[in-house]
Amino acid sequence: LTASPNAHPWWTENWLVRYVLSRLAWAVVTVLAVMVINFLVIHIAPGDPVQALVGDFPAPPEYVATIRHQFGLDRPLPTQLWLYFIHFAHGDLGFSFANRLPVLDLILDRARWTLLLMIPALTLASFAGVALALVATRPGSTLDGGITAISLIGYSVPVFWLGQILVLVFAIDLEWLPAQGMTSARDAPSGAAAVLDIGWHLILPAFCVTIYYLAVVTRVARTAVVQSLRQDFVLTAQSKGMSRRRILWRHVLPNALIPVITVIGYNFGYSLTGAILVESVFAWPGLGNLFISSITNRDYPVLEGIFLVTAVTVVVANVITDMLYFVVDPRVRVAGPADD
Amino acid sequence: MPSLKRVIAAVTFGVCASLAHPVTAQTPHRGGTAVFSLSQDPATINPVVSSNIPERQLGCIVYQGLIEVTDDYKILPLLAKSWTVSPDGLTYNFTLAAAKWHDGQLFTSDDVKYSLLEFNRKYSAIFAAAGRVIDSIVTPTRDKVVIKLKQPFGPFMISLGCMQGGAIMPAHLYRGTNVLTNTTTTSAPVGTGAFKFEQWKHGEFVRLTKVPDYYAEPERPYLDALVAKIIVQPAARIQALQTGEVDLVQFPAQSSLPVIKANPKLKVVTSDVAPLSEIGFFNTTRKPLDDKRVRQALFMATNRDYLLKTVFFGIGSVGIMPFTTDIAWLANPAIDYRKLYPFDAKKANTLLDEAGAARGVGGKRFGVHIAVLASQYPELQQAAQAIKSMWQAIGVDVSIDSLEDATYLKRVYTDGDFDISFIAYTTFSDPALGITRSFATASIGKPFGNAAKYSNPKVDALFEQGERSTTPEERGVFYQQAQAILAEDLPVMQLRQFRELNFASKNLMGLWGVVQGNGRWTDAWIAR
Repeated sequence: LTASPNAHPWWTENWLVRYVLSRLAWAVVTVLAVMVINFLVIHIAPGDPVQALVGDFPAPPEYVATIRHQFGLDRPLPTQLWLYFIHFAHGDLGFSFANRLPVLDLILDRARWTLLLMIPALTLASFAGVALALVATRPGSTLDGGITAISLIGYSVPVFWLGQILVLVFAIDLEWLPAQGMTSARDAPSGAAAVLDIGWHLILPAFCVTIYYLAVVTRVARTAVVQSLRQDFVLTAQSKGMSRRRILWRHVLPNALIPVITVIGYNFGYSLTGAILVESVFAWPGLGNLFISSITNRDYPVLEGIFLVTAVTVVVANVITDMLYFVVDPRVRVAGPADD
Repeated sequence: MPSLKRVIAAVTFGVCASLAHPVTAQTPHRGGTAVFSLSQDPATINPVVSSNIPERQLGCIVYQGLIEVTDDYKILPLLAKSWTVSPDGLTYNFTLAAAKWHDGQLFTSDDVKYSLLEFNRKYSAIFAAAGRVIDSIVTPTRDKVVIKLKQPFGPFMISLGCMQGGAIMPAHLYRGTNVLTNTTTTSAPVGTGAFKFEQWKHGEFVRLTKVPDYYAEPERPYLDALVAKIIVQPAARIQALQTGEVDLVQFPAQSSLPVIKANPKLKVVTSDVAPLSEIGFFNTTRKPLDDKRVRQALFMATNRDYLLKTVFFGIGSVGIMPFTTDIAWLANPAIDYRKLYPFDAKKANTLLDEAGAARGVGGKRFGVHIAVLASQYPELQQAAQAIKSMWQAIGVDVSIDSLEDATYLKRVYTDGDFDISFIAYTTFSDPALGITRSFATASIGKPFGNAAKYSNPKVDALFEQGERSTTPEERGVFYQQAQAILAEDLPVMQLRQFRELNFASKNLMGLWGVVQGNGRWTDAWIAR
């Protein structure tokens, strides 16, 4: 990464290259630390993956020994950790005991369904949250009070409770929507019907996720907008006779975006694991449900894999969020990060 | 002459009884797909390599044993068409049915020999005991199997059932391979049952479809397909049943009983899985529980009728002897806990005083830790709460540790770090398979074994004799004697004995009441 004279001016700044490199280095260190800590915590926790595999009743000892050997569980812990890193360096996250599939395949497969749930919900929550914040820009007004109250409720309501209530009302009482799952397994639809079927199953869990993140974004965005509205440049714009809408769009929103981007980026960082409870309530076959069953089964490789993927997503989302500051806020571009 | 009241009562009863089963007389409908819930994504669809519930729920549809066991412990033919047993109980002659594997290969005596010797006895936790007594297996023809035992083994026939780990595995797919990594184990089971494996979407569902020319009964099965839906949350399973997304929930949370009863579209059926008991192990190596008077006193301070009515929703009954009376031939009519240990705080106090567990400051005698396998049996958690206040009345301080599976196993069986532990034990339909483990010296320290660490050579010998005799009549004598000793020593307290319930759609028919297990899907149909 050397500075090129033809590149965009701020990109060539030396401090920026240093900044990016240090962020990436920290990201790698963080992920490696997470891997070691998780490995140790998971293996030291009580429980035996073999028990989950052979069942409750005491299985023949030779059989148990075979499984232990096959999954490398008979080796000393440091050796297992070392092998974990060796395999990781080869792009191999291990083999799931309970699912009898390579961990990476398993995680990628389930991550699709979690993202199918989370990406629309997070996107909707992000845009709607900012929009609501802009609507609620008259502090003390009824509308503002209403939106603040609703976002407070959305933020505080436990999602598993909300999920249960949604199921009771829309699935059991009204019989409009399915209560759980991602597909109607009974009829096994195909083609367009299968897509519609998934969409049909997506509504309740996605709504449940959206409500929470909508509340989070709205609260942060509202505070940011209200603070921006108090700035002198708003007064200046008003005195120039600018319309309220134009002031909001041209002056307030860009200035309010930094905290909003932070919280949205943070949310996306948790997109893979942010729906564990919702997935559980709705039996959605995503990463969250895989996580829960892997804990029950003490499926070490899968747990390590999920923690790793989560750590990477959070770290990457943070790096991207940091980078986005440069794009949306000219002040950051000119001044550089405060700590550098 | 019968009184008018009695006649009316009889007529009313008759009418009600016929109303209760209005559809059983109907001809079964053909076609359709039934959906039932699984509490977990199975690790394999194989009932031998795992004794877990989902694995056997599915595995015993795809795979079959030589026989099936009826609810009253009679043996029905399945892969074995007929059999004879020598008078000394050592030689079993089987004639096999003309079955086919789902991949089209013929099922032969070689499959039976390979499976029982190389597969079931090596990999099945439940079959292991029967496997150990097999001396040799000879296959004179393709459809004849002769099994010789080293010694008579009472539950040998029952052990050949699928639920007992006796399902026959395909030799042509397994021989010479690594059983654990073979795709027949990991992803594509090939059995002989009326439904064959079609699709497995991990975390979502497993789909089975009917076998077109099922060997055992040409007109069966009625259903076109079966779907096992994986729904981990107990509440979500019940909700899926309420919306009609699933037709059957097995092993449901019993707390949902009122919801199901109130729903006109649903029914509650007693399941056919082996009888079980919810029990409390006293850690007999710890003071003061090493004194049987203390154990008896705690038992007498426990109002089990109250527990049954409240936390157990009236399902089952309070056990009146050490073993469940649901296996009738084990019952010792001389034992009745209601008379031996009636709920009586005063007597309990006297016993504790005699045992030297005197009241100290604040009236406290001693404290105990109850470990509860709460993740599997939430009702036991509530039972422990209720017992806490019952025992406080006799000066015993209770603290409760609600544990999930792995932690419970370590704490209770490996470390022995508990005073009393609450859990449910299945009988696997035979005392030698499911009851001996609670009391035998050999089961101490084993997971789901003898947590009480109770060791009594007399009891061990009786269990062994019971295992080595052949007919229920002969075997019963030894088990009844063992019960008499155990009722006195009380290493384990019976909280209740019960059968699991099934919650089902009223339209799901024909599944229950024929054989032990998770229902006979071959006979199941959906009313329209």
